[in-house]
Amino acid sequence: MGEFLRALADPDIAFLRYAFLAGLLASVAFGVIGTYVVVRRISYIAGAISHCVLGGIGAALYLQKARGLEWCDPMLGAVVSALLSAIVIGLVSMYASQREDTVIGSLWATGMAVGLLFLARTPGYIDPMSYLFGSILLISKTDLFVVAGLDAAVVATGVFFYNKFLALCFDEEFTRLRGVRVGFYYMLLLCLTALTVVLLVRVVGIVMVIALLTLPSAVAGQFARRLWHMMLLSIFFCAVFNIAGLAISYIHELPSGPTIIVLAAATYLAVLAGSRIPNLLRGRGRKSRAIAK
Amino acid sequence: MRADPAIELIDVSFAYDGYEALRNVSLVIREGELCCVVGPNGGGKTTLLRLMLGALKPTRGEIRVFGLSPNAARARVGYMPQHSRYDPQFPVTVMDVVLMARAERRLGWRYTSADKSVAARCLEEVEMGGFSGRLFNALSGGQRQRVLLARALACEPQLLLLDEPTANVDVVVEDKLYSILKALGERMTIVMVSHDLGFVSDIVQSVICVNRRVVVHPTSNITGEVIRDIYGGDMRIVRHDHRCSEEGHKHG
Repeated sequence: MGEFLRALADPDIAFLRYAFLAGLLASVAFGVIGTYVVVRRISYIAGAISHCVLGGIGAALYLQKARGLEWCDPMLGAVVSALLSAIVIGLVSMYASQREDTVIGSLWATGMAVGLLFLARTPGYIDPMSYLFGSILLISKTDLFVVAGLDAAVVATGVFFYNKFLALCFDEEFTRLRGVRVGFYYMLLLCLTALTVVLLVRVVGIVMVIALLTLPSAVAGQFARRLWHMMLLSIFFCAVFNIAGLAISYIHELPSGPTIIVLAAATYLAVLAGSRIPNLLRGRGRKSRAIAK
Repeated sequence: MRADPAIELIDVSFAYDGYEALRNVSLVIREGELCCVVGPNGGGKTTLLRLMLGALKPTRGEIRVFGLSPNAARARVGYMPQHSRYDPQFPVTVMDVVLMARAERRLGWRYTSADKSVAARCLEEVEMGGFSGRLFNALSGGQRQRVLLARALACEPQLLLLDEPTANVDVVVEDKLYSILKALGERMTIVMVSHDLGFVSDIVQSVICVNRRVVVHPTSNITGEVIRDIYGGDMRIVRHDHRCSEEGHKHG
């Protein structure tokens, strides 16, 4: 651990410090929005959105490198494609008579395919792996500012509309009948989810970011009595997974994304098991007493 | 003088993808009435309720609630869905649930103390006053049903629409709910869907029988001890002759 702390303070490895800060900042958005995603049961939608991000990153890199549009940053491409896919999925799930899961699955794969095609036509070698599975070596100081800005916007919106989102997630029909514009808030929630996914694409990657959106909230859900308790706890768990995962990956020279995700999944399993085992023991106790009678 | 109509259906039909669930329904429910919608499964009871709520649009005909379209009358309507359709892991307290009745009134993330006192009063009214901090999902079915009733009341409605308030609750809980509804019936119009086909509780003034077509009956006393024995309480039986006098009338 001391080694990790020394590395954080080392001016020569700034990327580690950026990754650490990005992880801490993003945890707030992941805790708040991840909780909505888990209780509204739209994690598969979040999965499709995050995979579409590769399409945006590919297009942005292509425009930047092959067409000379310097302002076309991969982060910008990621934000645009995430929002676009959120809007498409939202419209499909609200209005279209198509099977929703079919559309989501197609979009999921198409987004990635488009991204890979753009990358193939982009001059110079770009490793898609670094986007798919995260690479903290790619984080720049600019990225960090973008993360901070998006984070603040997402959290402020998510907190400000807490009552509406809570009512929408708990009972959509009742909320609609009260005159709340449910369609608007559902779309807003999907867009916030899209922006949240983008925050940690650099650190954990497109493929695994969805796990970081749901696992901390799933762990928190085991303890929480109210939705905002669940959010605070998820923020805490998400920050712990990010920091501990980064430290372990740095010390043992492992890729950061997979380390963070495996740590989160292991914690979730342990918490689930921990909450089940006392029940099992008690159940067995009751049974043996019943037999003794 | 008769009270003004709370709900009017004028020659309403409704079809799901070509299947006609309701045909040529005309009926009037007057203000202050407590009425019960009964009928076989798939007969269109819930469809009728959802039309009154404005959650469904009629294929033909017109629906007026307090003289307005159902959407325009929403603020004056309290709706209670069935308690069994909620996510059993959702982290909400009883108070959180009741306050949702007022979500459309507040823009920010906080409810006012006025909202909270209305919610607390509505919980008292359904005899759930001591439960406001409890987990909604840790309650029994009957308690959850009463919390949902409190949520409907927190809309401060003039019309209550209840979807099977007594589904999956035992007879004691059912009696309690009916006594609460009876008290509420003194100051508002109540329409409830019931799974009981033939018999409805003593408190109901009129019965709407739905099986694609709709027939409205008055309730009349029954003297038979048989029913008393079966149900363990005073019941009324619906008169199924269609030549009713006074309030009884046939439509469609």
